[in-house]
Amino acid sequence: MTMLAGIPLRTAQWDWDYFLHQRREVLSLWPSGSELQGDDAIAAGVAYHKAQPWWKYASLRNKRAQQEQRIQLVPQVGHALTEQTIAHMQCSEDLGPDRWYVLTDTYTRKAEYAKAQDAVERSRRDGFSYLNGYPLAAHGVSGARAVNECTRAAVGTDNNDEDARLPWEIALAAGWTWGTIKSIEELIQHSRDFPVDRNIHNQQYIDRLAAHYTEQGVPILRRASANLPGWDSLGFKVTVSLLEVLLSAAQGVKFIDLSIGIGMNLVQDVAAIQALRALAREYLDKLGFGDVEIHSWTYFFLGDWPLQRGQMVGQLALNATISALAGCSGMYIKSPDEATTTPTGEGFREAMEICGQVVRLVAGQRLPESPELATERAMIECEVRAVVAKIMELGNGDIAVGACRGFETGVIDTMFSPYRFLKGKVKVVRDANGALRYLDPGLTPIPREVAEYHRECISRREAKEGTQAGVRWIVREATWASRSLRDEVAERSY
Amino acid sequence: MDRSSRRQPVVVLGTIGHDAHIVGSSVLRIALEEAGFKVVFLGAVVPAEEFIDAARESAADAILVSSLYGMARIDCSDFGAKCEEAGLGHVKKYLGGILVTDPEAWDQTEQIFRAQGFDRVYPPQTKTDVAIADLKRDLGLD
Repeated sequence: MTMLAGIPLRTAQWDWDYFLHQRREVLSLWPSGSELQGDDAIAAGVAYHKAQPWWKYASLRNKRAQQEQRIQLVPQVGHALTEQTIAHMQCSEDLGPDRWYVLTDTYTRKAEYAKAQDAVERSRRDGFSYLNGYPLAAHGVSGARAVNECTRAAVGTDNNDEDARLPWEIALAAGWTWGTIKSIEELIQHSRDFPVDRNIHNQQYIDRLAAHYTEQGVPILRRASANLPGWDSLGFKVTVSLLEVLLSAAQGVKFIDLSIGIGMNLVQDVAAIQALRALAREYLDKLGFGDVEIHSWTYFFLGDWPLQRGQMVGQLALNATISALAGCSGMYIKSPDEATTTPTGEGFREAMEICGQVVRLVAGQRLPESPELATERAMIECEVRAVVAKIMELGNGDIAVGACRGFETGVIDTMFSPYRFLKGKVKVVRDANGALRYLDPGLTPIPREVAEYHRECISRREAKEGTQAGVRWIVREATWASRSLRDEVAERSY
Repeated sequence: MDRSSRRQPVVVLGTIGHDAHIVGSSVLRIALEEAGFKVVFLGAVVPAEEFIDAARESAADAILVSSLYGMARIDCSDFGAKCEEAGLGHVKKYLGGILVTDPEAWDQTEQIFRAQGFDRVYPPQTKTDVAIADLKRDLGLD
């Protein structure tokens, strides 16, 4: 595959007729799409939505939670069979999750629906889940409605997909009310060689569909995702999330969550969350999207999680504390099973209790302003402004076009990505306090003062440890969080 | 391949199936190269057939497969048999990562994948030096 499929891209909102033209093709991708053919199908979906109570809507839960100063918790689910998925969700229903984050399996994410269907049948035969997520296209609207109706939470779908257009059609028709935008992140995180322009175009389809439901009075929410791996720099995450916000708003989406993957340095994470909120508001207003409602969210650290239960609980608690002290509306939590298996219903129940307790105790408190926080925030803002300006310039003012060029030119880049078209020239290490710093910013247009600040922070760790920053640090940091405490003790000289 | 280059042991390494988790195999690659191996690194999202083709082309001594996303049971189906068919029955086959979506006792998990043709199967968070020591022993390099 090549990096560009030659799709004529532009950021502006699609004409409805162009959308409908695409839709005929999308609904024919798998038999479950056929029941959504025809002009009446969207109207039927909207009618189903309008019969739902307000709390099924992530967008409306955001508003209510903010009024109540309550922080929302979102566990995750996704198994091969509808009944397995529902059983998992029932484990935590009495703990009142605000949303359920339903992940699709990897076959569905790649639009390989025949393989997903096959695995569903094997799973049914063997009483075991052969899939790592819920195959939305295989189960169709009836399965997705059963999932929606088993909980009071707002049900939404992940978009870890190169082509999530059909799963989104099914999800929205089934009353699901939110999901993730991954125009940029998906490629960096999960793709090997899917064309950038096709991925953005597929996401625009979903944004346009979500916006259409909203125009009909159904407040669908999109989550601008920069979960990204735990070793990526926070400035890079803010850039990615901001680009997702702007692409989505351009299609008419009105409710957007700003989601950042936690890096696990308290000050740097809070600075990134604050910087993203300020920049998103500023850019949205500047580009004429002043009516888009935004909320800050986190996604728990996407890196190594410890095997030892106690260490795991400690790490969950830290992630919840950071999210709460940053003043977030909510957080996507992980389960204590994370290091060993695809998380279970029981695991997520325990995680709801661990994080629920932290949130209850920390709610209302904020990390106070300090010179350290202000510096960190200023550095992130400075970096993001420079990168976004470069992307705009590369696209002659068009973000979608600029993003494609950004991949080509190394302006968008990070390390350890499966995506073959990234330059892979960036190197990130942790400083003495565990904050993430550019050892080498590659070809990204990081301003000199930011690069120098990062280098200075790295030097302090070099002095402290008496070693030189380099590949050895990067290798060791792959198990930075998960190393057992016993191993650390064994390394002591006393 | 001539004799002089054949003295350096060759391994094929990557993350199988549709799995995008590249960090584990990337770290293992660095450790293997430091330990004197020639590594044919395939990256992530690699079909089983690509491992086999790469092993044949490079006359590899071992194939090291990583899987983190819980769908290894499908991705590794008949891996040993496919290798056998390609004339690679003698090549050592190792597998490691988070292998199943349902929590099972480790010995059960190990059995499943040994039956699929892997010589060694590693649980989550195995250290690189453990696997490298096994590899050296299995290849008679000690």
